[in-house]
Amino acid sequence: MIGIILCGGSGKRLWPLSRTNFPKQFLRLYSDRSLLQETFLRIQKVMSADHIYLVTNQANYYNVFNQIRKVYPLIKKDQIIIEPISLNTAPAILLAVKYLSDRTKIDEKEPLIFLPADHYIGQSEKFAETVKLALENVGDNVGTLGIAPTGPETGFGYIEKGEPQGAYHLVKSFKEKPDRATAEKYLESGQYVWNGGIYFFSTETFLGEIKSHAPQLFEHFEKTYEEFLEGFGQLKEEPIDTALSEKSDKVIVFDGDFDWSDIGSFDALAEIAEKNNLLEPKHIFMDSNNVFAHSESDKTIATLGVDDVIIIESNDVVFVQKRGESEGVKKVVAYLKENKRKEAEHNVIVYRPWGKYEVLIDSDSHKVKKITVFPGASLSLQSHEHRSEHWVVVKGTATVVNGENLLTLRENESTYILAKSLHRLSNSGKENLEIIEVQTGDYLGEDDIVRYEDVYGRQDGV
Amino acid sequence: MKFLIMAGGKGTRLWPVSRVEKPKQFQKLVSEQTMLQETVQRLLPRFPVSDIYVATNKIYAEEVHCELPELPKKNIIAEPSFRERASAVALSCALLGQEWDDDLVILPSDHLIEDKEAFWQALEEAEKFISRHSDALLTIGIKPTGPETGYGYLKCEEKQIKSGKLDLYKVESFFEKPDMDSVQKYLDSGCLWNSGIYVCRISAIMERFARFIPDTYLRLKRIQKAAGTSKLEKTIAKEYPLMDMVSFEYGILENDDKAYVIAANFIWSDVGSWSALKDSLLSGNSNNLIKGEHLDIGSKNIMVYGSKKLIATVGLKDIVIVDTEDAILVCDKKNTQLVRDLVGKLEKEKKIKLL
Repeated sequence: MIGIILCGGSGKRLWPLSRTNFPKQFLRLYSDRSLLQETFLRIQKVMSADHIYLVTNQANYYNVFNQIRKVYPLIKKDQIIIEPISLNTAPAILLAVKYLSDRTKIDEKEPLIFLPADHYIGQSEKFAETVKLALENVGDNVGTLGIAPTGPETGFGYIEKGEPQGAYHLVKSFKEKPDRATAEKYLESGQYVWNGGIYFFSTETFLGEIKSHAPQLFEHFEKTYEEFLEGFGQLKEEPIDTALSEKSDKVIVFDGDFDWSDIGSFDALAEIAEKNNLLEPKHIFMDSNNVFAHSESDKTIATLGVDDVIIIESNDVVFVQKRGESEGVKKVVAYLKENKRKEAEHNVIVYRPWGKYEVLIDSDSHKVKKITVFPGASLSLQSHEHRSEHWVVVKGTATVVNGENLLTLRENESTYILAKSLHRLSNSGKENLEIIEVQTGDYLGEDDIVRYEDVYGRQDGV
Repeated sequence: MKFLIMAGGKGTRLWPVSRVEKPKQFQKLVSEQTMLQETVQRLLPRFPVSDIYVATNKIYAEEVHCELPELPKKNIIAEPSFRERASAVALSCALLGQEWDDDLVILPSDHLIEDKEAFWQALEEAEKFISRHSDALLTIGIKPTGPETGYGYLKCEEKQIKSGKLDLYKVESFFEKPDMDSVQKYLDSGCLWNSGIYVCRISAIMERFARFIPDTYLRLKRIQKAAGTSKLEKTIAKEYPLMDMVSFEYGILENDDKAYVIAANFIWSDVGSWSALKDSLLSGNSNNLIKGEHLDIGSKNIMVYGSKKLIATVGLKDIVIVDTEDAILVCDKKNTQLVRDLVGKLEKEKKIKLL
């Protein structure tokens, strides 16, 4: 069996935490691991880690690699499949199947499981049992996973169950997000389950089904791998549900009996946190009911006499919403986009293949950054025309090329890099390296950089 | 006429902006100037800086000097510990009364008065009145604009005293921070708000301390006796912390039988809470923002006081949001007076960094 985690999404509903350059699946929302890491560990209970693949795009490749490495140090780069462009789940699944059959030559009867990277599942053990059962019993069907609804949710898609067939039910139909009244009817009938967005099938079944129901996808699949990638951008942006599942008559559903949420809103996140008693202790609530507060920094959030409010703090935004009004986030993001505000897309923390940096002070004459370099990682050998830099190591050990010199700097040691001089920062230690960089000069743009050598193959600019 | 600005308070109700290290009067709450600077600017065009004195806790003396470099250093009166305002007034009078007995305007350092001309007019009329009644204590009263439980209420005698352009009355009784039911009653009976700005002779205040807070008076006299000697600092350090822990309003104004009030013609706020700040700055204004950047979808009657971050809100009602470097406050508009309790809780939990 082989697991494929789809992690190319850009989860806008959790703005301001989720941004284009660091979307939802990479966030730590309910544990000290990200949703992606949780997903990986969850499926690792069912199969060995070298059987797990990840589909993402170029922009998020290093986020995926760096995060998975923390929970599975032996991750190989060929376990990460890069989409030329992210076009929803149908093209992503097609790419994964193509990659697995052309590049890793898997058996066409080998059962595959496709999972979203950004869902919450409460009981991993129960989940693992269900997945095992599904992989053993899926046969030549297209398997889905349905979660027994616990309330009339309007934020999820539903699956209508048909006849029971041993370990599973046939599927009668797929339903889009319903309105409240319909959701209540669904709940009452007992015939509807939440669509968990998880799929099981073999390559053989998948190809047979798209041949009959999605001929464009099949046609594209038949090309050589290079042609496949080249033409990938022309595929229709479509979820697998409409491209295939709703049309196929081989779709079955396995019952999942565990806590589940797609964390599609802060309302949903608040519920998960409350159910699991995960409220952050640094905050202070006085005479307040039904309040959820989440802060990404060290800030303390204090509430006084307020009810039904959600407060989210990120490094550049404070977001406060009434509970139950999560839809408003969309309007906020739309407005920011329209007005070309940086907060719509980018976080103050910028992720790089080698680590990340956060701009602490940004003024005309100077800029201060906190730079974190992952163990074993290295920035490019570079120089700047206009700015000089002071580096102070505050954690870990830095290996520094500064002009002619090779230095080893430990905590509390520093170096000064003159404008125009060649330099490189590396972390040869086993823990993260943190430095504070103070830049001074008449021009402090990120594009003032000449790269002479880069292990990540980057050239001009940033 | 000389001025004594009281700048030693802690302003806990404006947490998290107002902190022990830099309380309200030293914050740029409503403009690019601190509240203390605003208070002094309000006086300067009309009165010489040498006639302005600032009483503050000794830990803030340097801050006062930095904010008001033109103020003579000797005009800063340093209190050795945190006490109520009556003690601060007593200490100041002990030191100043040594040299002169002039009309003294005692005024808070952290209030908001936009209309300078009207403010000056009130001071002028007060001065005229005191020149004829040297034993009176005159307070500046404000026509109430709504039911506020956080203020003091002055009930005036019906008979108006012939004076200049402003109405002047004898104070019949005084009620500090009444409950909501009483507030309505006081408003109906034509009470005025007490602005906390007092005008009287130093000798008249001294006389009141002697009558109403005799123990404080005793200590005040000891300090006065030590003035000009090498023992002064020691005497202040010893006597000041032992003065009665009573506010000027409870200790003196409430007992006073020769208190008068001028009904001033300016809009005033003690900016004593976030909702007071909202009311004074945003009244009749649908804009929710006071500071920072704000984006809203469908909220009503909220107030946003930001710092560096964008603040986005959805579907809120009657809520105050204040963002600072290390803390965010989200508070119901009705409860902003209780921010003090929240700060009390932080103190109790020893969250020193947040105080």
